[in-house]
Amino acid sequence: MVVESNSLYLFLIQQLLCQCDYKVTSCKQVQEAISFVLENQQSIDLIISDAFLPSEDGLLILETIALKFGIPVVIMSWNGETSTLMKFIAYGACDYLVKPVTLKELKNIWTHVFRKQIGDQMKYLLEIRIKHNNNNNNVLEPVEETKL
Amino acid sequence: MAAVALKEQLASLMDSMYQEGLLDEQFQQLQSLQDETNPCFVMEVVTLFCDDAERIFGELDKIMNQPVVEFQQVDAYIHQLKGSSSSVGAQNVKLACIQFRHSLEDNDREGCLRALNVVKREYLHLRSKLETMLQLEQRIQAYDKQKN
Repeated sequence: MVVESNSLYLFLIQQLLCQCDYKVTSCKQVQEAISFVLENQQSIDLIISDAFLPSEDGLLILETIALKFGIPVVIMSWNGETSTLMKFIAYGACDYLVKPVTLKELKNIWTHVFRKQIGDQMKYLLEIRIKHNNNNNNVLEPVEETKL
Repeated sequence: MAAVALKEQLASLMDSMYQEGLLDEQFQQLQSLQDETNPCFVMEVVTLFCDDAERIFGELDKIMNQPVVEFQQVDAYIHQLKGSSSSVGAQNVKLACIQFRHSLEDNDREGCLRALNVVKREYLHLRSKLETMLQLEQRIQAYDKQKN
C-alpha cells in the first residue's frame, strides 16, 4: 500500500512499483490508509508512506499499524535530514527513503517483507521448541540445558 | 531522412533544456520508464504536472486577491507545487518555489506577488518547451510506425 497526498507523485510511485511487479493499493490520506488496513490486514504485505511533514502524520501509521499488526512500513520524504530520519526509524519505520525514490530502491523493498517473514518463522520455531522442552520437563526426564 | 532531422531537433532541444536547468536527472528517470508497454508515459506525467500546476496557480491567485492574505495557505500550495515539480524533474520551477517559500517568511504581499510571478514565468517557459518536445516525439513516433 502506498500513502501519498500528491497525485502526481502517487502516479509516479504506482508506475515504478508496477514495473517491479508489485500489486499496489493507494491512499491519499493517513486516516484512509489506517481504516483500510484495519479492515484488510491480510492483504497488505508492506506499506510505503509519505512522512506527511510538518504534521508528521506518517508517525500515526507507525503507531497504529506497524506496532500493532507488524506490517513493515517504509517512510519516504523530500526531507533528508538525519534527525527526521532517525525519528521515524525510532518510531518503527523499517526504512526511510529520500524522494525522488529510485526504481532500484523500490525493487529492493521486498527484502523488508522477506525479513519480517523470516523473523516470524523463527519466532514460531522458537515457540515450538520451548513448548517441546516444557513438555519434556513435565515427563520428569533429565533436563538438558536448552541451547538456542 | 525527415525522421533523422526530427530526432536531431529533439536531441538538441533536450540538451538545451538540461543545460538551461529547466530539467534535471529526475526527468531522465521518467523517460527511462517509457517503453512499448508504456508509450505515453512521459506525456501522461507532463499533462498531470501541468494540470496540477495550473490548478495551484488558480488557487493562489484567489488567495492573493483577498484583502487579507492567508500566507499559510499560500505556503501549503507552493509546497505541493514544489513536490510536483521535483517529481517531474522541473528544476527551475522547483528552485523558484524554494525561493518563494523564503520570501513568505517576510509575510509581505508585494514580495509574494513578485515571487509568484517568477514561479509562473519559469513554469510557462518550461511548458512551452515541453509542448514542443512532445510534438516532436509524436511526429517521430508516427514516422517510426509508418516505417514498420
